[in-house]
Amino acid sequence: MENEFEESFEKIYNDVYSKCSENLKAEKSSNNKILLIVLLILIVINVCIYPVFKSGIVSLFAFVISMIILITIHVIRNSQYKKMYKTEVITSLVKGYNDTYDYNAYGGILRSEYNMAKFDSMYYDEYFSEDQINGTLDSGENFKMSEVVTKKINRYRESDGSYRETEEVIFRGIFGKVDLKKEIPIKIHVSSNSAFRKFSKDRVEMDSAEFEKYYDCVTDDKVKLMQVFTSDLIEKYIAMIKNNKHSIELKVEDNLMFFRYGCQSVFEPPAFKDGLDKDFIKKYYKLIYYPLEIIKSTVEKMNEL
Amino acid sequence: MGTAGIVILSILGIIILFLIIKFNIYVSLRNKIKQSKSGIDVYLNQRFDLIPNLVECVKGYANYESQTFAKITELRSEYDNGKNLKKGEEVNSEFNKLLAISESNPNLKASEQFINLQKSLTKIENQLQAARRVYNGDVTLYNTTISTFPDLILAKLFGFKEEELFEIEEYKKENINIDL
Repeated sequence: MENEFEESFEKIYNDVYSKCSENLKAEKSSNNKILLIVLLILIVINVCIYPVFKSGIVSLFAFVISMIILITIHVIRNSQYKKMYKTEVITSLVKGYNDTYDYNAYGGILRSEYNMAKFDSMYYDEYFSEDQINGTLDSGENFKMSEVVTKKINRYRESDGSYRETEEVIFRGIFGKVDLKKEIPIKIHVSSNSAFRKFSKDRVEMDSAEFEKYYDCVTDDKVKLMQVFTSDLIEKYIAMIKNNKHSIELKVEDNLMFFRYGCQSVFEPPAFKDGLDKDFIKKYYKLIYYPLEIIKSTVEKMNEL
Repeated sequence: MGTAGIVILSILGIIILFLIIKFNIYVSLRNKIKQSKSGIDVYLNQRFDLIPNLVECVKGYANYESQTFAKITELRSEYDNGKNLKKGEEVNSEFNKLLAISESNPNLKASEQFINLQKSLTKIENQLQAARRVYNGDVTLYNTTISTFPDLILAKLFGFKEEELFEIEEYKKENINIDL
């Protein structure tokens, strides 16, 4: 699977690079030029202010205002660059994986759809979703996946009586939903390995020690689950954890499949690297490739049941 | 009762509780094996129920040996009596040989009745294969649990013995000579 990934990535990276490098470089250098000009103007203004007003407070005030102006311009220009990065680079990456898939930087999955999966046993207060990829799998099922962040707000009462709030991230990563074409006769829940579930009645002991090391499989029909989880699919689940450092959690119930996997903020341009840095783009491609390969194979196997 | 007595009683209580929990774990693991074993039995029986259909199919097209069918019937009744999975696998192995012979006949391969039967057999074979994997998984968990320290001692004390795993079917190891 790793070889297939490398082959596919090499081709896609070359395409992305040839399509986007000129525009990205032009945007970045125009940003830098504007920032440099503004910086020079602000320096000149600050240098001129002191001899005119001969006041340290006025100079300090002018410096603070200059910094605010500089940061504001940087943020505006950066958001334009980010928009361009997402529209050009990430769209090309997604299209490179499958030409029929779409990417929408500002689209997200609804909170109600996330709740349907019942992944978080813990209550969360805030929900945020963006960077949506959607399309139709080779076997005809529609799917969508997007970045999701759920947070819990903890309120504390200080000794002086005032309240303090802290944010606790419950989940940050990619969440997805597949509308299956037919009702699947079993319920499946694949999650990361937990000692608590080891002796659970519905847990299935899989015949791969490596899979067992990372995952727990719970179902209401063990034989059907084994029919779905053949050795080639098990290999894909293992490859996911080896390459993305995160396990995939998957739930199947009736005619719906939900999946999610933790990762840091996705599809953002790098802060200190070239936007088309090969390793950086590879990291994003892995986040698309490995989970979708798992989803595609799992759906195909389930359709055979 | 003095403090020492309370301490001794508490320790004894903890030990008994520990033993009860351990015993229950072994029992639940062994029951899981029994459950998965009965799963295999269900699929084996489903498969064996199709033997007469296969024989009926083969009769019209190939000169099959009546001994083969007699052998399968005999093995099946032995399996039905003892529910020994090894015996069941033997019947399955003979059945697969008969199927392999049938599949090599071009006339039979074109028969709609045979194609439908083959589909059903393939479906059951896949389920049987999956049931075997469930069984092996449960046996592995049970065997690993009772053969590691300190469970090794406790399991022996309670009389829990290691269960056998399913090996690859003999017929798959052999080269089948097809002669029609």
